Amino acid sequence: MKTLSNIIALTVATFFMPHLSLSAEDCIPCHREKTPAAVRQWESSAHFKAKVGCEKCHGTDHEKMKKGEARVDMKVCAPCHKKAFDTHRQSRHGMGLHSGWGCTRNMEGRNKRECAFCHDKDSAEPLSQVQCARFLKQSAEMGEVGCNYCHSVESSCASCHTNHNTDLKIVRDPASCAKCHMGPDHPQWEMWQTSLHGTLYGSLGQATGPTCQTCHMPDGTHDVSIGITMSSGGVAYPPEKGKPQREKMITICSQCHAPAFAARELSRGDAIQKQSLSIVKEAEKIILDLSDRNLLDPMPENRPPHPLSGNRLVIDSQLLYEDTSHIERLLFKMKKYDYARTIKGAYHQNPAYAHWYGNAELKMDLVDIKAEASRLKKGGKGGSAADTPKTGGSTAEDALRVLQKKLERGAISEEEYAREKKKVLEEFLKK
Amino acid sequence: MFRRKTPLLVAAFVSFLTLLSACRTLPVDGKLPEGLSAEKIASVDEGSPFAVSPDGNVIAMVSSGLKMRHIALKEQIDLTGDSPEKLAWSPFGNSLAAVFRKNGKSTIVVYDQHGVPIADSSTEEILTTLGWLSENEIFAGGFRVKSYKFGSNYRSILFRWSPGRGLPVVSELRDSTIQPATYTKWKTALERGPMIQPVGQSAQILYLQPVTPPLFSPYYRAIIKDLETGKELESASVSLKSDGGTFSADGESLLIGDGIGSTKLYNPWSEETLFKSATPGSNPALSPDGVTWFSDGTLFRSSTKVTPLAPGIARFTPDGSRLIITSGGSLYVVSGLKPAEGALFVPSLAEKINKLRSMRVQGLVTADEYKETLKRITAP
Repeated sequence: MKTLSNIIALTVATFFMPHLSLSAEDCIPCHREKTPAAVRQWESSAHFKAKVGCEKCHGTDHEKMKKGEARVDMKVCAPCHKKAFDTHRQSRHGMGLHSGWGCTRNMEGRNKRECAFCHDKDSAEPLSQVQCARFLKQSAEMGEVGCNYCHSVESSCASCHTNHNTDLKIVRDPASCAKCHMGPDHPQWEMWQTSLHGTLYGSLGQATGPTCQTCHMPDGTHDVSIGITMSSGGVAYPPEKGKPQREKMITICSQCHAPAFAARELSRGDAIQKQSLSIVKEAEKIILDLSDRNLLDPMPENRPPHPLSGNRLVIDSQLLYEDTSHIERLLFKMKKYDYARTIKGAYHQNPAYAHWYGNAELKMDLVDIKAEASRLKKGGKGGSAADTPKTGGSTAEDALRVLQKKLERGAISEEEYAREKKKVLEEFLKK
Repeated sequence: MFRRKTPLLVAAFVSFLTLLSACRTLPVDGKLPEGLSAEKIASVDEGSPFAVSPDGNVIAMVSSGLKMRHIALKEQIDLTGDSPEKLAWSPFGNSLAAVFRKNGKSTIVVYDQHGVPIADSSTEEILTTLGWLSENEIFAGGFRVKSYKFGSNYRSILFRWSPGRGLPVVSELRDSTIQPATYTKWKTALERGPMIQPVGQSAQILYLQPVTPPLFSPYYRAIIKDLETGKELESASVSLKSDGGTFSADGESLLIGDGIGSTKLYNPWSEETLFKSATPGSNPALSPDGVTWFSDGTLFRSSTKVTPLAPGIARFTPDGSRLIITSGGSLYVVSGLKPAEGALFVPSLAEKINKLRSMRVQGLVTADEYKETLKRITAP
């Protein structure tokens, strides 16, 4: 009899199963065995205490969960953590990092219709997962491990907070930033760690030594861009945008330092940023000139196409370190590693990074770039297609081609072009 | 009764007209304007090609086979019993190239100045034009057609070959997609190929590429291509009836007719029109000095009609003093032409002018800059 009633109960339960909501009670018995860490972390979390169960974040469709289609996006957290969500979305962390272009939603005077380039109507999700040239060059595995593990910060709270823990110790530890903010391209963690700020933190703790969060997330804000006066590519904001941010950073620094001291230190960083950028610009000019003369080896038309720009020269933030010419690879190192280290080293008050890992390398890069340019010019052997004239020589044709390319890319004005062209034709007549 | 006799009457009338036409006296056979004289020097196969040697003395012609004929000595050498479709002398007259079409193949045979074959090369393509880029390099034009349901893909082809120094190199000039009805209608015209002409003595050619916009009449775009850089200058648009263009010896003037009712002599570099004539411009020939021309069977000088001669194909001798015409199976030499003084090609300036033209094709100098710079190059 008992068996029969059990069968009836099971049948009824099975019939209604899809229509019933899953609750933590339903999940825990199995998941205590299948994913014990997740359960343990949840049980010691603020979510557990607040009775926020599995279904609240993961939903109720178990099949979807098993397929990995029920990932907890930031939008799931947003209704309860609205302030954190909003400030995160305003910040660099939330601004289309993995869409590569950078979202324009906070830009003044933007055209609202431009959202349609990246988003469906009323959707915050980018239409394409990634629009970053370097990401697009990677294998699926490298893209996931090497790119998305960091760039998921745009849409996933777990990127910093981890999946089931809510302990703020985790995210208040500078090590949680280190996962991404280290290495050759932007070693902020190492810079901080070996600066006086980091040394004090190491020896005397957070009360004396400021952490990443102290300066970049004051009062727990999720707007990590607070007080930053340049783009992620290291280009200074115009004064109207930069000045208010600088004032905010001085206020933050003033928790420990005299405002005048903070202002002076930061303005030294500004000066180093300008000086360093001028070195990068000099290198870019050399490469553009070589491109005008069809002397890059290989020229863009003879390489696999750039994922976003096709067969054209790209030296902006989408420049590549692969399928490129040697001199552009040198520029990549200069711009993405050494320029970044110089200026970030300066703003993080780290002398070794500002000078030896940054400035010295930056200047040596320029030496290398000039030497490579000289080699290419002497050899005159660009990697251009057979019917594309090389312009490494000094004929009138070469000079006119270079002038024409300079005009086309806006490096010279129409007046300068006409004047220089006249000179070239005069020389041509004399020869 | 009358109805039964009608076909007979029509046939008799047609026969009468044909006889009348064959017997008629062409202007070239009659009295020409003062100073000009014409002489029939040989019989040739009707519609066959011929080529005048650079010294103007020897004509390569087709009369039941390929022959070389010395105009003054009236001596003739038989080269082969086969009849070529195209003929061209090298710039210094050391070699004669001939294109033969046999068994689905085009063969270029190169003869020395004595008519001895010295090199040959064959291709499956149909070669429709022939010329020399230099004393050692031949060019030929051709086309490839691939038909699809929606139309035909028409590719203009350029062959370059240095006889005895390697195999011909084939490259595509441009391609066009031509709708089926358009292709059928213009088949004969299109199968003349790109009608390539060399531009003076430089590494540049002129060719005609069909353009077939969906809602407009098809037409040819006349394009000058710089062979060194691969760059092109689009020069004119003419009807598909056009017989192509021809350059003066110095490469400064281009004569081109639209095949309907407008022929113009113009400078494609400075975009100046020199002369115009309300004639279709069929089979155009331009004197080396760029002043006298022949088209539609008529001799013109500076847009003035000098005299009708004969409907046919004509070539000026390189000194510009004579015109060779084939018409109705006869080869004529018209003598007494007076080349313009000082207008002939100046070899010492050639390199600089060619360089300037190359810059023009590449779009590095404008038409005005070309004109101004050329004026200063050629100024005494």
